Amino acid sequence: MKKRLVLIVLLSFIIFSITPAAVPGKITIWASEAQVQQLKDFVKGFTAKYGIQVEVNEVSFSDIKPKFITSAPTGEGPDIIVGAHDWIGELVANGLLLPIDFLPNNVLSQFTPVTLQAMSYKGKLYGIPYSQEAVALIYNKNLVPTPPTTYESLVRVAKKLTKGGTYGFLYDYNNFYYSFAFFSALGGYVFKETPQGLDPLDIGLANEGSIKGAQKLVDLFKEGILKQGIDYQTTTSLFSEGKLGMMITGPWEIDNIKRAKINYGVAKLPKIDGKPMRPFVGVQGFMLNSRSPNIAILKTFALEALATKEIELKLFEKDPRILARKDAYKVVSSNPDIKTFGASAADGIPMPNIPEMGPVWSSMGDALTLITSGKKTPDIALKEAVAQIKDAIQKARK
Amino acid sequence: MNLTKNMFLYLYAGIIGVIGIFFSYILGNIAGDIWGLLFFLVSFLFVVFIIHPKTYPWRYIVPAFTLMLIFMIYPIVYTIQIAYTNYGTGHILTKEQVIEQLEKETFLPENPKNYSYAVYEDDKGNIKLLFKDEEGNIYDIVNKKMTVVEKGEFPLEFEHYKILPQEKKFTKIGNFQNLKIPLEEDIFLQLSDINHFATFRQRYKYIPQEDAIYDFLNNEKLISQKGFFVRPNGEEVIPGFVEYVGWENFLRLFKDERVSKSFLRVFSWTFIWAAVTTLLNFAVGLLLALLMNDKNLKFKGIYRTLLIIPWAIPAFISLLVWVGLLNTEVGVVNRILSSIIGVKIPWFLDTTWARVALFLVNLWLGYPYAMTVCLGALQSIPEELYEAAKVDGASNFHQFKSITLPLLLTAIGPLIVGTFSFNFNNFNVIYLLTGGKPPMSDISTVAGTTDILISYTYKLAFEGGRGQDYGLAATISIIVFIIIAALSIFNFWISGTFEREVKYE
Repeated sequence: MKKRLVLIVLLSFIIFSITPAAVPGKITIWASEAQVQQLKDFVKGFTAKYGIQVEVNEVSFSDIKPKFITSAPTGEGPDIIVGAHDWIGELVANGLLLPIDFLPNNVLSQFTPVTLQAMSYKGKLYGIPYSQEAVALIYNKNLVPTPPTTYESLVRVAKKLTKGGTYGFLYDYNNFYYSFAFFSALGGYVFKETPQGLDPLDIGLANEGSIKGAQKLVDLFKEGILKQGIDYQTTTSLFSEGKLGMMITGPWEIDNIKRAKINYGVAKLPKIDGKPMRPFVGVQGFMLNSRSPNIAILKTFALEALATKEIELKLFEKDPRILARKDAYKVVSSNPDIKTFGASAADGIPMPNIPEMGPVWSSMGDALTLITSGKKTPDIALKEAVAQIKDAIQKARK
Repeated sequence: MNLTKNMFLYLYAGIIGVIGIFFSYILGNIAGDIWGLLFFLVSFLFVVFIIHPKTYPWRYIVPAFTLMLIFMIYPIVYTIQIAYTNYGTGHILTKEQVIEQLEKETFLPENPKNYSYAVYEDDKGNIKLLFKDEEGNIYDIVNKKMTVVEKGEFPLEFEHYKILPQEKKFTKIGNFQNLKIPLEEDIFLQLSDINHFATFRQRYKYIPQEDAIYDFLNNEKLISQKGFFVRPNGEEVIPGFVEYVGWENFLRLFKDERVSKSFLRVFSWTFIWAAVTTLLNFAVGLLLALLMNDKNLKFKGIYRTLLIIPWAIPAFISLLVWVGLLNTEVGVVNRILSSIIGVKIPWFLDTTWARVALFLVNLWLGYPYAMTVCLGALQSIPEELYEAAKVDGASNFHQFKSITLPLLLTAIGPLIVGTFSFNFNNFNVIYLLTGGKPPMSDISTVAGTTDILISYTYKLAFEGGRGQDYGLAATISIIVFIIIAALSIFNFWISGTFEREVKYE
C-alpha cells in the first residue's frame, strides 16, 4: 500500500515538475533569476501590440543548458533561452538552435562585433547577444593606491605587499579561464580563427607566445608572489578580508566585494612586453529553439524585442553588465566599473564555443597544475597538453 | 466489522482507480496514448488485486515487481541499450526528428515574393487567408495559383468569410503559422514573420527507398552514414542522429591508448583506495565501538551523539569544507601545523599527501557508519561467552581475538563487502576533494593520480573530446559494473568461508 502511494506521489512529482514548454501561439522564455522580472515587465509591450502571450519562467542558470538539451528534442523545451555563448557549439551540434539569419544588417551593425563573433558557429549567427563579460584586475585601493599597468610594475607592487599575512597578487592560476590572459598576451590562442569558424586542430597553446607567457606566470612564483594551493575561494576570501592587494576576477565578484566594504578599484590587466593581456570574453544572449512551433512569431519578437537597446537597458537595471549594443553601452558606461570591464573585454578574445573546448579545459588545467607546482617546465607541459587535446579531439566521435 | 473493512477496501480501490484514470489521461497527453493506456492497465490491475479476495498474495507482489521494473530493471536495460549507440553531443535527435527538421529548411525561389495578409473567419470558425502584394493586388489561392480578386484595400467580407480586426488577427496565429500553402513549381507560401507571407522552396526531401536526402538547393544527394547525412564532398550536415553502432564503443575503449596506458594504474589505485579506506574506517569504527561498549564508560549518550555528527552533515558540504581546511597556503590545518612544528604539508599538491588526505577525510565521513554497525553487532554477542572465557583465565586481548572478532565479522562481513563496493565507486569524495589531481606527470593522460575508475571514466566521457559521449559512458559503466560484481562475488566467497570456519570451532 505504501509502495503504491510512493509510486503515485513520484509519478505526480514527475508530471507536475515539468517546466512549462513551448505552446503554439504563445512564447515561452527560460531565464535566470536576475532577468525574469525585468523580462516579464518588458514583454508586456509585445503582448499589448500583438495579443500574443509571452511567458517568462525562472530556471537557474546552470540548469538551463542541460534542461534544454533534454527537453527540446521531445518538444518540451521553451521557445527562447537566455544563455552563454559557449553553449552554442554543443546546442548547434545537437540541432537545437535556430540560425539568426533574419535580422537586417542595420540592426546587426549596432552590436559590438566581438559579441556577434562569439555567438557565431561555423560562420552562422545563433544567438542575439545582450551583454558580455571579461576579467580585469581588481585591487584594494588602501593597499594599492595606483594600479600597475605593466607586468614589471605588478611584480614590484605585489612583492612589496607580500609579507606576513598579506599578499600582493593572487588569483585562481590553475584555472585556465583566468590564466588564459598570460598565454594570449604574446600571441597564444586556443583554436585558430578561420573564415569557416574555429579550426579545432590548429591549437596555439604551445606556440612561442604561450610558452613565454607561461614563463611569466612561473616567474611570479619564483618572485614569491604567487603561493601554492591558492584557488578561487581562497583568493576572494583573502581579498574581502582586506589581506590581498590585487586579483584577477570578473564583474560577478563586485557584489561580494561591495558587501565586504572593501575600497576597491577595477583596472585593465597589465601589459606584458608592451602587449595587452587578452582575457576570455563571455557573451550572454538570447537563443531560439529550432524545434519551436512558433518560428514566425519568434522572428518578429527577436527583431522588435530581443535585439533592441531597450531590453538591454531594462535588464541592466537589475543586473549591471557590459551591454552588447553600442548605443546601450554608451548609456551605461558612465559607471566606472562597467567602463573598465568593457575596456578589458574590448582587448579580449571570445571563449571558443565549439564542443572541442571540453578537453582544453581539463588538459590545460592539468598542465597549469604541473607548471605552477614546478613539476614540469612550461615548454614540456604545454606541448604534452596540446598533444593530449589533439588526441582527444581526433579520437572523439564526430 | 467485516462490512466496514470492505467499505474501506472499496473506497481505497476507488481512490486508486480514480487517480489511475486521471494520471493515465495526463500521461497519455504528454508521452503518447500507449503510455497512458499502460498506466491505466497497471492501475486497473492494482484495483482488481485490492478488491478480489483470491488475488490476495498478488496485492504485494505486483507493486513490488512493478517498482523493481521501473526503478531497477529499466535503467539497466536502458544503459545497456545506450552502450550500443552513438548517443551524445551531436547525436541526440532520432533520425526521424533530424529528417523532420531538415525538411523544414527552405530557400528562396528565383523570384521571391512577399505578401501582407488578412485573416477571415466564417460562422463555423473556419479560417481563410487573403494576400496583398506591394502594388496593392489582393490574391486568393485557387488551384495552387495566386488569383487576383481585388485591388486596393482588403475587403471586409469575402465570400461568406468576415475579416478579423487587427487586434484579433494574431489570436488565430496557431492555425496558420506553420501552414505550407502549395503553389505551382514546388513553391509554397509560408509565414515568414508575424506580418508577412513569403514564397519559399523546400530545401531537403527524404527518399525512404534509398535512405538518402535530396538537397534541392545544390542539387545533390546526401547519404546516411555514421550518424550523419553526408554530402558528396564528404561534408556532414549537422545535426547528426542517434544510431546503433554495435560493438564500436567497446572496441574504442580497448583500442584507445589514453585508456590502456593509464588503466592499470587507475585500477590498482581504485582497488587500494577501496580496500584501505574500508578497512581503516572499520578499524577505527570498531575501536570506538569497543570503547562505547565498555560498561565503565560514563556519559555514553553524549559521546555517541558527538561521534555520529559527521554522519549527519551532508557529505557534499563537509567535503567542500575539508577542501578549505586542507588548503596548503591558508588552510586551518596547515596553519596549526606550521605554528606548532613549522611544517606546511602540500595536501592535494603531492600524490602521496593527496591520497593521505583522501583517506583521512573519508575516514571522517565513514567511521560513524562502521561504529554504529559494530556497536549493534557487539551488543548481540552473548555475555556468557565472556564469563566463560574469564573463568578459563583468558586475557582481554585473547577474549577479543577469539570471541569478539570472529562473531563480529560474521555479522558485519557482508556490510564490509558492501562498503567496499560503495567506496570502489565513491565518486563524490574523489571528485569534490581532489578532482583526481595531481595529474600524472610521467605519462600523458587525462587521468590524475587520485582518479578512481568512475571519476576517470567521467573525465573520459564528459570532459574529453567533443562534449558528452553517453554511449561511451554507458559502455564504461557496464565494464565497471562487471568488475564490481566480480569483486563482490569474490569477497562474499571469502567471507563465506570465514563463516564456515567459525561454525566448526
